[in-house]
Amino acid sequence: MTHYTIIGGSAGAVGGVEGIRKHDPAGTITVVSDETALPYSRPAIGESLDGRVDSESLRFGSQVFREENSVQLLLGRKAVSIDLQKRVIRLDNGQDLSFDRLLLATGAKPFVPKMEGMDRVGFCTFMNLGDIDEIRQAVPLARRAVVIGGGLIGVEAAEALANLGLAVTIVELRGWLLNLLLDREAARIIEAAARVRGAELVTGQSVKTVLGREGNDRRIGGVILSSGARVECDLVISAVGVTPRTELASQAGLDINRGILVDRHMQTSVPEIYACGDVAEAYDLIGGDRRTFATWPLARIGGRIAGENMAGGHIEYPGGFAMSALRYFGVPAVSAGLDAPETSGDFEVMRTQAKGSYRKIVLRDSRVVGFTLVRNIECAGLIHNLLRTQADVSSFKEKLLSPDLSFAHLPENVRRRTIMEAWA
Amino acid sequence: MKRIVPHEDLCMGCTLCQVHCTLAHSRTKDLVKAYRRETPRTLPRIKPAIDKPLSIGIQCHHCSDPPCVAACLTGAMSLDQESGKVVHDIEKCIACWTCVMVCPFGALTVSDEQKTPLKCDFCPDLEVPACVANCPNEALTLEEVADQ
Repeated sequence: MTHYTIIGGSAGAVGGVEGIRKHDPAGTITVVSDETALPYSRPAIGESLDGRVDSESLRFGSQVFREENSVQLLLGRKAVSIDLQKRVIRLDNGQDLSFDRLLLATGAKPFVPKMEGMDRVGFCTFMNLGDIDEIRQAVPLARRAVVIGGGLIGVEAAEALANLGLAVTIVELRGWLLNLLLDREAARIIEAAARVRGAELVTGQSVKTVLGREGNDRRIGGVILSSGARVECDLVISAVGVTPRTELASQAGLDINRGILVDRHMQTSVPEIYACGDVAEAYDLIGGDRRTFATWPLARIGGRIAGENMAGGHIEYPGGFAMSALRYFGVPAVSAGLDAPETSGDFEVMRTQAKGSYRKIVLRDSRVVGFTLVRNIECAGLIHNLLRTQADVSSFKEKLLSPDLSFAHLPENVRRRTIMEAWA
Repeated sequence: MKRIVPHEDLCMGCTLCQVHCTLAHSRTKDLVKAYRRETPRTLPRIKPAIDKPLSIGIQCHHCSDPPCVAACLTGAMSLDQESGKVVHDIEKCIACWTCVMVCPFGALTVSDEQKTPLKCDFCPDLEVPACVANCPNEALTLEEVADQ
């Protein structure tokens, strides 16, 4: 009987268990997570903070961790080292876990830039339920918050805090919100909605100093921006970016670039050791090389591929690409693949804009390599499917800008293949 | 398993599938009330995809390996192993639109009236789904399709 161990208890682990159980109903599976909470939906922690989602609905993967799957969950335990020769993991309580096949799904951690005063009370990150607990305690005493970073996590945090009635200022270093996902035009629409909901945006700035409060220097009273301007606040959320948690893999001697390098089977440089999710640097469908993507759906999909191969399957990871569906401040938006490579002549960019809505499609060699939709998003999956399959769209590309774009606008061979795939 | 099969050569784009889908999911089951007096208004979970002269009734195809289930951020979309149906738990849904982003049919309905996306539930209380039962041209049929 094979013993599988998964380190990390989030989307990658859920995919890993799904993949393993597809081929091996009997092997034992141990999941080690350094969080004490049962596996939950990380992307929904903002909704959990402002009460849109209760703790029961926040649970993730309960179907996968159900009893029949007999997964042993070791919560609140950190793996501190791996001995690849002996196939043993050392835990922080001194316990040793042996394994036959290992999946590293350790995810990413917030990257927090050093700044003066960041040790004051009220300085938080926005990554896990521990952070949410900390923020929840600070909120009743807070009236104003500064969010450093206008990316996915920063906007998520800003929206939740605005919903709780705090005055929020987002400080973004680059020119516009969500700039890794959206171009300026698309971002403008979301920025306008954010302002309506009471979130202010300062661009081209960073936070230099976190100030103490008058009468209580331990607590936060404001920040000083790179321009020298001062913003009063009681709470600072740092959401500048994330970095893969590769420490364990690095200590074990696995090949690492930015993330843990894996092949098309999600296997690391050492046989029988796999990695997936935010920590893995895996095949990039559009770039052709390998890249890390901190994307929830890709973590679960990569986990499934890894799990299947760990349990004797032979399937290839189809390749990842950036993808985000956004729901911020009431504006539905979707962005996938390459965003704005307009500087290079290899790309063709098609776009259409109507009041409050936006559609942009980026083509390379008659294939969709990126797209952005704001507001009118119902057709997003059709374009996503063309991107995912790298279908040649030269015969119908003008139709992709049609305001009522639907399945009927796709050519017959695409329609037929899509249905065959769905029912296979 | 039994699947709703669209026949694009037979569909005339009459949109009756939409009308009957709306009716079947309405609270009153009364056509006039469903369209005029129910708030929030009941919305159809099937849409006629039209690029003249072609038209096809499009709804959730309950994929055997559903991309929406794999991508769902909260686990609100799940595949019921016994029935083979894709089930949407709106309690867990945060309306992040990830399912909309990955559905290869563009089958989900997004609206201002409803907070979450809507999809075909195969009319659990009916023997034959309303769209199939009421398609005048048999452009939607209920058929046993063997899994490969």
